[in-house]
Amino acid sequence: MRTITRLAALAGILLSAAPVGADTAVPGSRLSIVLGDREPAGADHVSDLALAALQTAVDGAPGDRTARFALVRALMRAHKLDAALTAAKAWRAVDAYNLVVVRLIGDIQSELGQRDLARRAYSAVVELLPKDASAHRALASVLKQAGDLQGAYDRLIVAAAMTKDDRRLAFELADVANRLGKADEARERFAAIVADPTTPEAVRYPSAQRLAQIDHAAARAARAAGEADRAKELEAGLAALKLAGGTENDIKVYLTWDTDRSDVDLWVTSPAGEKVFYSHKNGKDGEALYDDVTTGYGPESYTAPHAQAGDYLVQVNYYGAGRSNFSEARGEVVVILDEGKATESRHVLPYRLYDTGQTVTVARVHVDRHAVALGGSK
Amino acid sequence: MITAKLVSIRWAFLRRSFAGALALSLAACGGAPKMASTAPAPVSAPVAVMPADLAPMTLELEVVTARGDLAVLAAGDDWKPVAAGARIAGARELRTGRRGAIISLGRGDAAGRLWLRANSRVRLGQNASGVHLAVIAGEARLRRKDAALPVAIDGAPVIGDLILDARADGKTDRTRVGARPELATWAIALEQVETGAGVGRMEAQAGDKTEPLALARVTVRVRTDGDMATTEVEHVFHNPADGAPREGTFRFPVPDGAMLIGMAMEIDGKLMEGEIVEREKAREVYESIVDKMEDPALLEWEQGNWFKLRVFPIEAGKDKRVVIRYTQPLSRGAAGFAYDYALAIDDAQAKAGAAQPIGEFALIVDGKEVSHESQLAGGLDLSVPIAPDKVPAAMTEARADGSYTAIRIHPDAAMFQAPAVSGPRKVAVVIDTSRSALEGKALALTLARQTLAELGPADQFAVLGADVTIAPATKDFVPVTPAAIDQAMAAIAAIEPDGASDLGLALDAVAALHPSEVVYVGDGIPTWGETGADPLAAKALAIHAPISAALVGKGASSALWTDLAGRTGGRTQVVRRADDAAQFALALADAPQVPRVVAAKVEVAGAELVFPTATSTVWAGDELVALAKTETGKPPTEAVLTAIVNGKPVRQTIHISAVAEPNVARRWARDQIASLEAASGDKDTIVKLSQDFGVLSRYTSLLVLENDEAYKQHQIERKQQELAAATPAITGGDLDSLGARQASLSPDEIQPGDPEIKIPAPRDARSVVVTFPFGETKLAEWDAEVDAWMVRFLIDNQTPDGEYQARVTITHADGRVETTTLSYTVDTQAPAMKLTVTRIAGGYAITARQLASGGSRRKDADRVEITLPDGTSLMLDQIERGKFTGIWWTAPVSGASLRVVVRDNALNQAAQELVIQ
Repeated sequence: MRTITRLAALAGILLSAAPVGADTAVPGSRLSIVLGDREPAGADHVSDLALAALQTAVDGAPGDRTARFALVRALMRAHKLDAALTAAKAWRAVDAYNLVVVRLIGDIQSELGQRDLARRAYSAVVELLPKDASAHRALASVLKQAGDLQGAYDRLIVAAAMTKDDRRLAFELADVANRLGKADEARERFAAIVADPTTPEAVRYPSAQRLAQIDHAAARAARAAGEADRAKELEAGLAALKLAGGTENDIKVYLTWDTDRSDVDLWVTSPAGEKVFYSHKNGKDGEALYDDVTTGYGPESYTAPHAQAGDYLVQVNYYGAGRSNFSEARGEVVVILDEGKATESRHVLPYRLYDTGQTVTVARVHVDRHAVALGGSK
Repeated sequence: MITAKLVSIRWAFLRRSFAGALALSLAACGGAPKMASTAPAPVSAPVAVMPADLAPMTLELEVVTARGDLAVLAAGDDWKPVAAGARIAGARELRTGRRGAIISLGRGDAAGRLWLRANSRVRLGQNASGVHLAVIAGEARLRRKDAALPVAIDGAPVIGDLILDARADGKTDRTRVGARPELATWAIALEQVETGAGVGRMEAQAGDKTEPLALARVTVRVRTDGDMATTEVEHVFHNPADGAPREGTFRFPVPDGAMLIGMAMEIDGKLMEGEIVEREKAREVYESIVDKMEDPALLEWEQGNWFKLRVFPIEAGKDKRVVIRYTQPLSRGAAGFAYDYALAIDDAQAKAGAAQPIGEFALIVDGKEVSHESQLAGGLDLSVPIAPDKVPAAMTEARADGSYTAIRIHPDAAMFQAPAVSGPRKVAVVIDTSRSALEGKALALTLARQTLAELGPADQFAVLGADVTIAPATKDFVPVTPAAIDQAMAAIAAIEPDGASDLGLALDAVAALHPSEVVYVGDGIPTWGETGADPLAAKALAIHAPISAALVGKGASSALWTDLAGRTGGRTQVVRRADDAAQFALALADAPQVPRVVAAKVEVAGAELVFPTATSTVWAGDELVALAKTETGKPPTEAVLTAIVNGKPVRQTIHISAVAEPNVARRWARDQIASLEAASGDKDTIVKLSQDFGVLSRYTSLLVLENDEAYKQHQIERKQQELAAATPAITGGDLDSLGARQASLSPDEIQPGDPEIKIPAPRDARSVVVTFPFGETKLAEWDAEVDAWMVRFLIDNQTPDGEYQARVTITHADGRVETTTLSYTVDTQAPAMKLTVTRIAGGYAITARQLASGGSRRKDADRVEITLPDGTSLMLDQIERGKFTGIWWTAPVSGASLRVVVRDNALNQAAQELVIQ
């Protein structure tokens, strides 16, 4: 199942985002992760004949955005990145303010390893729509995928200032702050989301989970430092959150995506072959999916409090798109192993789905019967 | 019974406003148009101050551009028309007609370049000392480089770029273009193919083609209130086509700085007033009605200063009447306030495919017809002087929601920062290369090139491309050469606009260069990195150099850069067209030499919101207008101007005595809307402000429906109709619409003489009789030329000074009798002034205060002019009635003697000597 990503060129860019291509196991844990694909298998199979047909379609109808998009995408899938960049720039020359092509150019430059050029191209999105919160948010998603967490944070700050009542956006910002190591800020942001009575439950619950993770880690640190009173205070707060399954779980998975017009689903299949997803939200071993979001951004979260030995498949399915003809879904899956425990590890896995109905396996979580010995390896 | 003395008085009037018989009847609005369109500049020879040994020009003149009629007086006494491209030998005088011309003085501008405004006249000649020039009517611009052959005006050699105005005493007023670049607008416009706002175009669909409809009639009615003018342009288009009705698209250019406040369209013979409606709702209503084939019209902003209106139907063989209404500040020229109207109908229509004349054109200002033309082609350029006493120092308008006050502020001499020490300039130019710069790229490059070309040979420049990264186009600072400019521009042109705008990064990069000046060219909106106004201002101040910004692009915003320029002593200009770019470049050319007030900010006691909210730069000769909102019925009585001089804060208290005038609230609302739009403010608030004050915003459109029921059906309140009804009418001067009689006697402060009274009674009145205070009764006569009853009377030399009233009795055709009174003041006393001189950094501040004299406490002085030792003149600014100030920028000149000439409204004049201690 180990897959060499087609996006190996991105390795440098994504270094901070995903430990590409390696099984990882934390000593003392019985769980390990094997990274999967970023995009559906077989997406790169595009014949020269098909490319020629797409080029002919563009030549015949230069104003047809669908044809332009199909050509650029096909060239990218076929790893003809220079040709894809040429085709994308030719498209932008006649469709100067189309944000789809702006993003494609950034994608191609990213894959070519042209990090600064990609950043410049991507940033044009907010230059053209400086007062559009969704543009800043979409760009944040792209920057996250490209490993530029600080850039993503800056965009989310701007977007959040424009749409103060958007609790999902607030969640995303808190999450990025957390990943940047701004634990205090993240805690404050998650706590504000949880405390707000207008927050939808679908956002409040994962926010409470994140808050609990931060406080649980803080309580553990306090105990280790001999600060019993502080630890007690934090634990009291955790209890007040009344989280099902508490703050220590074997596997936790979060799914987010980048637009408000698409429905992407998280599927997690247990070693017994039981798939937990939107129409089967609770597994027989206590696994639970929370919540099925059908209007965009997520988050959806999966919890397995007591993982069974064997392999858990973590997959993302593109269920449906909204108005755009060019909609693809991209986002992140965050896998947390040994949540709340000393052996906790986190894995951020970007994914990209081109068409509805597609599924990508982003990771396999392997569960041993016994923990890996300290100092050993899987 | 007209004595020689009376004739001389009359002549003085004529010289003051040289459009002949029209002069006196127009003087109520300040005088005749500077460029009357009905006739070329006067052919008789006015006085000019020129050397006695002057010979005709030996230098050959070349006509670069002639937009209208241009004539030359060379050998003999015959004026000969000349066209573009002509070379003229032996010239003595030049004069223009409706529009202006550009003349090269000697081949390759050997002695400079001369722009002549419409209906202007210039005398030229040469002697051993060089070329001598005098503007004897109208206005001109002279631009001379250091190396040009010498040119003298009023006997003194001149250099640089100057606006020249004719004066009554034969001398020529001079104003540096760098200080007041807006004064050169008409000259820059002469260089453009298409210029001039003021009239709309209608195109109609005919099969697959669109064709322009002829303008059968254009009537422009203007009403001035304080320092604002409201202009109503009535267009009557004719559809000559047979057959089915056609759909038309009407486009209208609003002049720069104007607020579009209303629109009306004739439907079924009735003029229906448009209403300001939230934009999306307006579109929905419009579309729903179009589907029913009824008669709506929707006016929306199209681009730049153009608005677009779809009109349906235009019946075959019928006329369509569309009225557009806007308000704008009066222009402040070197000679005072004026209403300007420029029209380039030929050029505009040429672009649309057909240069058709306007069947009939009329311009009426404050009830007085200024211009009336039939078959008008070739456009025109009019400037109607407005008397200074019609523009109060403060104006206020009370509404239920507050009192709104406009305060014209003239900073004291102590507020001015002295001109920078002369020396080579190091100018850093930042050019926006972000994605939003795509459309404005060509204009931005043109502007940058023009700006750099204005620098001197000893100056240096650096150019940076800026988006999310910085791309230097020069290696540090380089000398100003054509090749270096080409190279830098080529480097910027090669950058494909992309990415966002990290202005903080750009300011940091500029700071590292240590420039003496900074120029930013771009849309002005920070979208990446630091975007907060205060942190960016801190970065700007760290550069320690004036920052000027040319804001280019469809979405350009001046909100941030106005503040940055204000804090650092720079200038901001929104640049939409090539002539804006030229104006910006001219302003920058002279910038270091022009005194200015830096970081000017106005605080008004008791005001909840004062505009401008940002800091401003106030240039010498200019004024700052503050707009304040206070509690209803409680207009402010005091304002404080603060500024920074050489790093130290200074303040000036201004006492306010505001006069009631309309349109002040609208000005405040426009600034408030702009402020909210720049800050992405709440849309509903902006829409409400727009509707309440009758000012269009980006979220509102003007919608015309076919009758009152239609508005009611779509739940659209008739606010505009109410506002239009409440606003003083703009009238052509017919007696019925005037209400209170507005007979005019001008000037209303007069010396003994034979002034003329105009009474706008109906033509068919049985009689119009004027009874004078001395018992004399005179019968007025109908004057078809001015469309009014006129009577002239004598004020003899023995008449004591004082106020008098004449009584006007009108007997109408139906026997009805109406009366009105007319006040005038006889004044033979020249004003006495107290002069004070204060040494300031870089020069002397001179203040003149009028003293009570001859038992009169009236403050009627209207002009104080000082002749400086080098022969040039310094005109003091009137900052309140009877008080004038100005700055003479010079090194210390102990013992210098200056001649001060003071004049009052009645043209009484006195001279005093002022010795600098």
